Amino acid sequence: MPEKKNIISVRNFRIGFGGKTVIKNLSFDVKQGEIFGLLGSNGCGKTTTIRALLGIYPAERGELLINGEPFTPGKGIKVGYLPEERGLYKKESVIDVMNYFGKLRGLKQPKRWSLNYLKRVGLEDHAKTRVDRLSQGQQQKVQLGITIMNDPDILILDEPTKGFDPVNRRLLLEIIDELHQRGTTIIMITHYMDEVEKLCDRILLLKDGTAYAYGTVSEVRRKHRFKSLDQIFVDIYGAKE
Amino acid sequence: MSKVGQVVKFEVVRSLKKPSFWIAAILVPIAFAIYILICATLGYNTGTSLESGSAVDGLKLAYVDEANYLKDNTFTNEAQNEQTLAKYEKLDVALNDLKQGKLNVLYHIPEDFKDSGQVNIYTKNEKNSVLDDYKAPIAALLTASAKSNVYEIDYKIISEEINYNTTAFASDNHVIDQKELISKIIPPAACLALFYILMVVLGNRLAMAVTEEKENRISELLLVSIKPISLIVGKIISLMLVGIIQLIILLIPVGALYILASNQGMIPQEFSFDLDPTRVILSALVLIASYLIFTAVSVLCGALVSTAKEASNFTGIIVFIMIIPLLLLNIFLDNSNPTLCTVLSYFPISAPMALMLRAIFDNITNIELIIGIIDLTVVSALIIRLATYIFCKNAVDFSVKKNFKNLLGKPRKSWKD
Repeated sequence: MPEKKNIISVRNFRIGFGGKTVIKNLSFDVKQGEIFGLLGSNGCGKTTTIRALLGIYPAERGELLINGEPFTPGKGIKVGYLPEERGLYKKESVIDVMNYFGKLRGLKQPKRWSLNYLKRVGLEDHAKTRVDRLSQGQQQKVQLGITIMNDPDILILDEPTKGFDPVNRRLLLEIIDELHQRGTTIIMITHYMDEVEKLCDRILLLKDGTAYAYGTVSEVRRKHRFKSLDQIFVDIYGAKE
Repeated sequence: MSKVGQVVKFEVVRSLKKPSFWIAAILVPIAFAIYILICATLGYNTGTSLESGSAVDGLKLAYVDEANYLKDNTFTNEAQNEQTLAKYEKLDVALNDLKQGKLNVLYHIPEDFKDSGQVNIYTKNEKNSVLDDYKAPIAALLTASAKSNVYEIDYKIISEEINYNTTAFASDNHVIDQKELISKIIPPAACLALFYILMVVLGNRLAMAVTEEKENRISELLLVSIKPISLIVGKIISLMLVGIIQLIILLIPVGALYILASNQGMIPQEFSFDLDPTRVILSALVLIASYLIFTAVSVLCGALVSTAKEASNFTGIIVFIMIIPLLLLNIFLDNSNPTLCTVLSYFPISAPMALMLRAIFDNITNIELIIGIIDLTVVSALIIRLATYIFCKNAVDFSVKKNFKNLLGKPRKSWKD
């Protein structure tokens, strides 16, 4: 079986804020079609790495490429991003917000797509409801819809299940699985190791601004005497956390 | 439609959907109308002609003239009917008749009237109101009596009815027409008023234009969908359009009233002017450039800070700097300090008001106005670039305090145009 191509390449990446280096020297690749877990304790630089990859933060040094070039919105490969800091236009209706983002992402019929999605996630009656009148879980469903509405080639999810109830969590994992089946490359930042073991093909464990562990889930587990990822995480960060 | 177009459409539509926009848009003209009405009412109450004051046609009027000043007791009332005041010799008898309802208004000119200048008015009606004002008839009779006591010219001098004809020569010695002078003032004065209204009505909205994305944590979702420059330009265009819509809402009733009044012949000859098209176009361009720089500076404030409240504080400072020329009105009026006037005209934040004031007082040439418009437009473009750059720097920095050193750090490569 031929080796899958690297759709994301990060080389010698360094970034810091206010004189403090967050990522020292990070290199990794994400292969096309895989589910990649970006793991680490709070504040270790996972979100910063993703923001730098998407051009939101400028790298101090190194190269962060998506499909061979720096990310530019609307150009080249389609990226869906569900950020950790999630928000929507609170005073607008659900359908207006989804329609707006759909148009920005180049959808031809964003309204139709949005209505179908809302029906799927059980929000069809809330299409015209103002966003701030939805519950937190309902808002998260809308945010997820906006993230995947352009049928992304790469889906980046920053703590996607944070705050989800079990029903919504299952729905989200279903959608992730569905996209994965269709060939979408997925990068997940999460603290739930059961999700990682169940979903991820390969993982990167960040510690002190460098890659502490990098490889397939089984490779990482083998290196740590076949302990569970949960136990490995506790072993690595336990003393500090 | 381009992404900029999508941002413009989304922002304009949601601005127009907000009740606060319509409340502000309609309240400002109403507030102006109320102001004009109050001024008119005050004038109405203090007038002395028979056209002003409460209607007296059909009322029973009388007077007691202890000073023997009045020469006549008949006047023409507001309905253009001759009306005569009944004469009473004794005040107590007249007051008695008033109290019994035989009279509606009684005027008492006391014996010491020539020294005190005092006239007493007594009224009795079914409904007395604070707006009742019955001094017009007695004022008319007193005026007529005063006229007969002195030479006509003495009366005109005292009552300031002398016509002073002034002939002013321009620098090239041609005689300046007063109407021409006023027609030159109208376009910049109207633009100054409109700009002021835009600042008052839309100032806060402009400041909040880019803080909303930060406050509501939408920036990251947006920044993977659209380039920051497209987002900022789209926001600015939408804010300009909202301002134009605001002006149209303001100008339509004014224009309609003017046309209606013109067609009805209600506008006196001296109030109809032939406006100089060059002046009108230049004033309109100054207004557009002024609103552009106000928008750009407001967006820059929004990009610098994290919350709408902070942005409002910044905008308050900007508005204060913008109205500094108004506070220095005298130097524009008499052009006593041409250097300061010129500096204020080309310093971008004070330039809008300074250019308009100099145009109103005719202290500026068309070439200088054009330079001012170019200055405002170029600086606005630079400010928009700076606002975009700063927005990129702190779009996802949700902390309140900003570090200016960090804000001016290295730009990212992928968003460069």
